[in-house]
Amino acid sequence: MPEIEYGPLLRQLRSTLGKLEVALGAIDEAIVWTDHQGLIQWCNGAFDRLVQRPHFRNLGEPLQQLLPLEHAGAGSGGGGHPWKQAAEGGVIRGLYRFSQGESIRALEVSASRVEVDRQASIVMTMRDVTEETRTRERIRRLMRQNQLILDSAGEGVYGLDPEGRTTFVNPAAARMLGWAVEELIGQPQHQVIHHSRADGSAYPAEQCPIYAAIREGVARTVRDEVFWRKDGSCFAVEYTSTPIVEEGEIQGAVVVFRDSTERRLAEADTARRSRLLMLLQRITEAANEAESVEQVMRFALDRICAHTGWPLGHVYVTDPESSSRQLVPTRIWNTGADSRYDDFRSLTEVTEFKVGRGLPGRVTSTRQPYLLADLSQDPDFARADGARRAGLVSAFAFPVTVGSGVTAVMEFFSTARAEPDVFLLEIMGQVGRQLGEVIQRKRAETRLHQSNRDLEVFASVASHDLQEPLRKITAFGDRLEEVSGEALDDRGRLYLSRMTAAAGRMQVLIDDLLQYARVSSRGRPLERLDLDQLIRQVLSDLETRIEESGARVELEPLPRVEADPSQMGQLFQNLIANALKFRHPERTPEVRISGRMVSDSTRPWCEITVADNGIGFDQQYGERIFEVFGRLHGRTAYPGTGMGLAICRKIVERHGGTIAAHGDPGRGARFRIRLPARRDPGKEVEQ
Amino acid sequence: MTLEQMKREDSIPVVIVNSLGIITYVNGAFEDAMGWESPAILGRSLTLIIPEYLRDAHNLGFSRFLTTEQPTLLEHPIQLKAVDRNGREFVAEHFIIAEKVDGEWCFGATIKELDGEERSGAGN
Repeated sequence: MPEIEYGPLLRQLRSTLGKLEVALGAIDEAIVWTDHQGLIQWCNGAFDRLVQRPHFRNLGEPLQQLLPLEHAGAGSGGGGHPWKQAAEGGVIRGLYRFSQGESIRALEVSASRVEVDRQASIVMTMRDVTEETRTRERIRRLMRQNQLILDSAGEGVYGLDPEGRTTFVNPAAARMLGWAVEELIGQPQHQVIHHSRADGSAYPAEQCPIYAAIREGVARTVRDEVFWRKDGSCFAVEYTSTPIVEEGEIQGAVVVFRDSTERRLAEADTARRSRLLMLLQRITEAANEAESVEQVMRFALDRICAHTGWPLGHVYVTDPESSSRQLVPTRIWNTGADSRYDDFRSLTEVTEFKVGRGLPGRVTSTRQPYLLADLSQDPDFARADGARRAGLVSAFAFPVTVGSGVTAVMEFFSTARAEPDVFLLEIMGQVGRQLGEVIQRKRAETRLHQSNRDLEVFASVASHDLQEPLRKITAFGDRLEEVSGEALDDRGRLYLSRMTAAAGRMQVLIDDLLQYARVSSRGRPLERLDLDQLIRQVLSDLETRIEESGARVELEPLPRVEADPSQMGQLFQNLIANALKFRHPERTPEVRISGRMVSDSTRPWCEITVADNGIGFDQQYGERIFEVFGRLHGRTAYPGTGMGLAICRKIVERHGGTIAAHGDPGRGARFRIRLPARRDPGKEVEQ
Repeated sequence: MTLEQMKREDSIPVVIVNSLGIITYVNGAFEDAMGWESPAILGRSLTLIIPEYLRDAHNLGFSRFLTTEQPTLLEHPIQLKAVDRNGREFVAEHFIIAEKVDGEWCFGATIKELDGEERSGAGN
């Protein structure tokens, strides 16, 4: 037998052992083995680091003292130290806590008993899973929180994989969609809840913004679509589809949605209210422009029918001659030229109502708008048969109120059943009040126009008819003085002279009245006018009076206006002459004429001011001075007829303007005239 | 300290082994302290003076050094348990050095038994 060479064999074994030791020392798991008494026979570097002791000081130490472990409730084991359990024959694999000072490490421990040379050894490996456990715990907590958030969220939330299949659904989403959560998982979302548009037409998946977010990696928000429930009904939604991107790859999308039915209803309601308010405004504006009460009514009927879509509208008016305030029908209709309503129209035009009876009477007595949802069900609707034949189903009416009374009732009919609409009726109530105010104003204007016309006719006729006898008085007076003047005594001559003086004054009065009447009747067309030039001409005509009074007249540049040149000349002649006449006895008269452009809410104006430093007047008479024959002073102190400023106002109003006077007693007066800067073509204010 | 210097030491037990862990030299102090006479221990494994439960660790550590030549215990005093011929375990301060002799590693150690007061830490 050859001699065994132990040296190389030992070297080889040493080398193998060395490599093994290096390998064991390099791994992260702590490895320790002990003898049957629990004394450490070997451990690797990871173990040394775990117990934080030099390697050689661990050797021979009792493991249970060096590494006290407490079971953390996961895996096998649990009763005592894993070494001990392994020594008793168990195979331990579990999670343990290792406390060292203030630090607590979580260890995944594996321990088992092995027999070596008939001696029991215990091998334990320990993996430090502290960070892993903490991370896992954080993730678990986060997931629990997320789950809680998802579960309690009012919004529906669901996830999609890259193919658009549902990966998760929160309870709110499932509830809104009418599906169980588990029924939706794995389903192609678009085909299940998003397959059709609101109008029922097909919604191709390639047009779906939710899927587009997955395809394009860009979040999409949509506010006006519908989702479909399990029962086949749909509801309005607004949703955001946000792509899930991980490491540059789109992994799917999260969709958050909410039922927007209420929002849309609220928006629609707001829009409807806004349209109704707009309607109110338009009716009011147009009514103001209307030339007659009938036109006001017709316009209101047209606008309300157009706005509500109700095809038929009509006006009842209260009969002013009826002591019982009978409501009588008018021929003011909006029928949309539909012959189906002819019979109903004929019926209505012969149907009168007492206050309190029928729809118009009810509205009149309550002074409130009223809606009849079903005409056939109202025992007090006298025209029910006619309405049925015309296919009319619902009606509403509102009063046009003037002061405390009702002047008219506007009634509307529809062929579809209408549900009560509080806001519509409220607005219609306002329309009625606005129309009432406009009508009241129109009536006042009509009365004023009529009264002005009467006055003009009277003035014109009276002046013409007075001219002839007056001329005769003057002529025979002159002849009497000429023929018999010598024969008269002093008293007779005084009487004669007073008579002719009175006749002369009367002539002036008649001339002024004629002039006043002719503002309307003999007015000339308006033309573009250079006011500067015109006023210079006026000043030239008044030159003698200006020189006599020593007045200083200051004329600033004036804007151009469209006006009747003759009447403008008359206007400024009267105003400047007025300023000279009512001059202050102790001051040099000063007259200043200035102009500027101004605008108010309605239009731009040329504003011309004639100001003086004369005796002025108390502002309480600011209106009276414009009245016909309106005088503030006796004829002796200041001669004149009191027609000058009345003529001024009439001229300004014929031009669509205004004139106002501001007085300051003892300091002067200021007349402010406003003439429209631009006139509507062919429009002249009728006086 | 070198192996030569260790061989001149006569007051502290000294043991020298070759790269196979075979004892090649002990001094008189060693013989006195450990109860071994030179002829009886020379040529035998160093594990004779290492408690049995530490022999695996010794073999692995010894082999690692030979493989990596990266020392962990050399040239500083460390407390380790040793065992004498009678099986008595005691704590001793070891000072271990390594030197290459003719291309082979040789290790020398002084082994100074410590009494209770001199021990530190857990008593290895």
